[in-house]
Amino acid sequence: MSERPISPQAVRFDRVTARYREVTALAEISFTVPAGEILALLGPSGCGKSTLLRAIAGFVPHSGDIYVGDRSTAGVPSHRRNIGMVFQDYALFPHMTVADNVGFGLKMRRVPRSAIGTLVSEALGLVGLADFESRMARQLSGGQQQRVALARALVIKPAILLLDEPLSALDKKLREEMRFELKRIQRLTGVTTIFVTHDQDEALGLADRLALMRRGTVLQIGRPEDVYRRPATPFVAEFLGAVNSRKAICRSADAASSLLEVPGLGFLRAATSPAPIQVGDEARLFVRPERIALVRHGTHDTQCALSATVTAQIYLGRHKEVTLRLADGTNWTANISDEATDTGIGVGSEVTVVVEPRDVLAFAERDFERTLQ
Amino acid sequence: MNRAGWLPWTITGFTLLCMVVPMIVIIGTSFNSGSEMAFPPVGFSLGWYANIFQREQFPRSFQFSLLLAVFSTLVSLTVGMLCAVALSRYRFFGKNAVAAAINSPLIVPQVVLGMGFLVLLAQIGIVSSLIGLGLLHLVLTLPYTVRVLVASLARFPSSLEEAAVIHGANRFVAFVRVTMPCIKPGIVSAAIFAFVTSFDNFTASQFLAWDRTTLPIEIYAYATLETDPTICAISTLLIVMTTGIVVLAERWIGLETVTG
Repeated sequence: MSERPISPQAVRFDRVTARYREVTALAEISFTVPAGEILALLGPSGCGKSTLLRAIAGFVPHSGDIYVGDRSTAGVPSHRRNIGMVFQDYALFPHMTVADNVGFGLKMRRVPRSAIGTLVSEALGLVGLADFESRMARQLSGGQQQRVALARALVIKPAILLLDEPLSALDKKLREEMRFELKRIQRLTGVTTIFVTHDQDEALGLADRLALMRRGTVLQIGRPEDVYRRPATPFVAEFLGAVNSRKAICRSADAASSLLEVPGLGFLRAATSPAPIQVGDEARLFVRPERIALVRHGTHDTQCALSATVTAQIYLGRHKEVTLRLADGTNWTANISDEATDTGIGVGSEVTVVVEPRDVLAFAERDFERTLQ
Repeated sequence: MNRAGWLPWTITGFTLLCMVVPMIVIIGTSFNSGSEMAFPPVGFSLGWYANIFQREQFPRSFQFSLLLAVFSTLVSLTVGMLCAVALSRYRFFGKNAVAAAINSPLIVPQVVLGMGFLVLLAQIGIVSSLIGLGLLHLVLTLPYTVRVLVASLARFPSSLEEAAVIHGANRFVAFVRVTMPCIKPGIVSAAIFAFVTSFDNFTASQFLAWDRTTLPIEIYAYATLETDPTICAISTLLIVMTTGIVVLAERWIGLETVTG
């Protein structure tokens, strides 16, 4: 891969809109993927993530424009876009050998036969399948097929690499292995990579940034940790990771935080939320299970805490999953790290639920209702 | 197996009997030494086989039938593939009407079809057996080729063709290099259907025998005049040929599926 390295290209979406008959599959999508980045398109099924990926490939008619580097793709047929793509079912050509599969794009580009041989060997070496050239594609296991598909996509030194649900067809162990492999190979080649997934672990673990999509729009785009810690909407908060949620009313607010009363349970303070909450507003607050600390009842200043009873706990190795019943009867889940559990808290204990203000995610109720539409 | 009872076995046996016994009778009769169509054969002789080649109408019409069947098969596969791609991948106005028109030769009696072609072609002034029968056989074979190819394309995953296109093949090259090799079993069985349909056709074809005749027409003509076992000898050769083609095709597809 050394003689002609991939020159990574940025991808820019400019008001990309697509319709299937009456349904809007993509609604005015605009954002930029910097050169060399791995971007995850994440969202529930039907959110438009696959449609957006296929639009880059030129398989979906759309309005608006998609730029690769500084060139518009409008009017450029799929086979001239210089894109590498790995399909969900790998789509290896069953009647060809592994070498012919990988060399297909080079042959189409009229690369001389001798050069094809060298490049194919290099690409297969890159994905760890150096001795597989003469095997038939259909004789390979799922993981091997995926590596061949990746080699076929990369051997043409594409401007961008597209992956459609790359790991969904693999079993769990292989999936984790391939996640590292994909990242290693992407770093080695530096190719701008866009992949589609509905699996949040895949998105969080593989992507430099992720774009969370819903109903044809991008709700939030950012680094995984930023989107996870500071979700822009209640939907993002709930889609990405488990959350506990309650309704609350804002009692006081200043520039740094707002004090939320959970009726009948107590108060929690939330650091400034994405959408400003006014005093008197109804709000919905979200707390991630791993952000909860439990102390025994009466040992904490209870001004910013909720009371609860432990009803069950499951030891899971890395942490203990504790089920709490709040005073109004609703259940919350808290993940307590192993060393923090030797505090005499057990099933039946009366506890105080303590959450740092920066870990309380609060949204004004009217925003919550709007995003549910 | 033992519990299947007598009724299924009887039905199966009777059906097989109806299919196999006429062939056995024909093959047996072809070896008669006398000039009667006796079964079991009286004596043994290959004389009737020799007779086929002494009467020049048989080799001549066989040659023409073969030419016609190959020609019809190639045209039918080409036209059928275009129809199948259109029907299986696109939505267009009048799609159902097109599909119905392609299938209509299965419904219209062949005598009517042959008569229709006769009147039409005579009007236009086409009195060539090759062109006339070629067109007729295209119409007769198209329902089979289109049906088989549509089924093959429906099972073929579109991602394979997309993979070829995104990695640099234009749509035509992707179709020829990836789609066609992948649906080869379908193409071969469509070809066999078309070939056999064309080669065997008598009912509609008899109306268009102007300058040249086909083998089935010559067999029929001979059978109306003579009662010797020559036509049984011809039939035996045709059975061998057809079986040979099918076996070869199956072996070819079969081997391809295993080794690529």
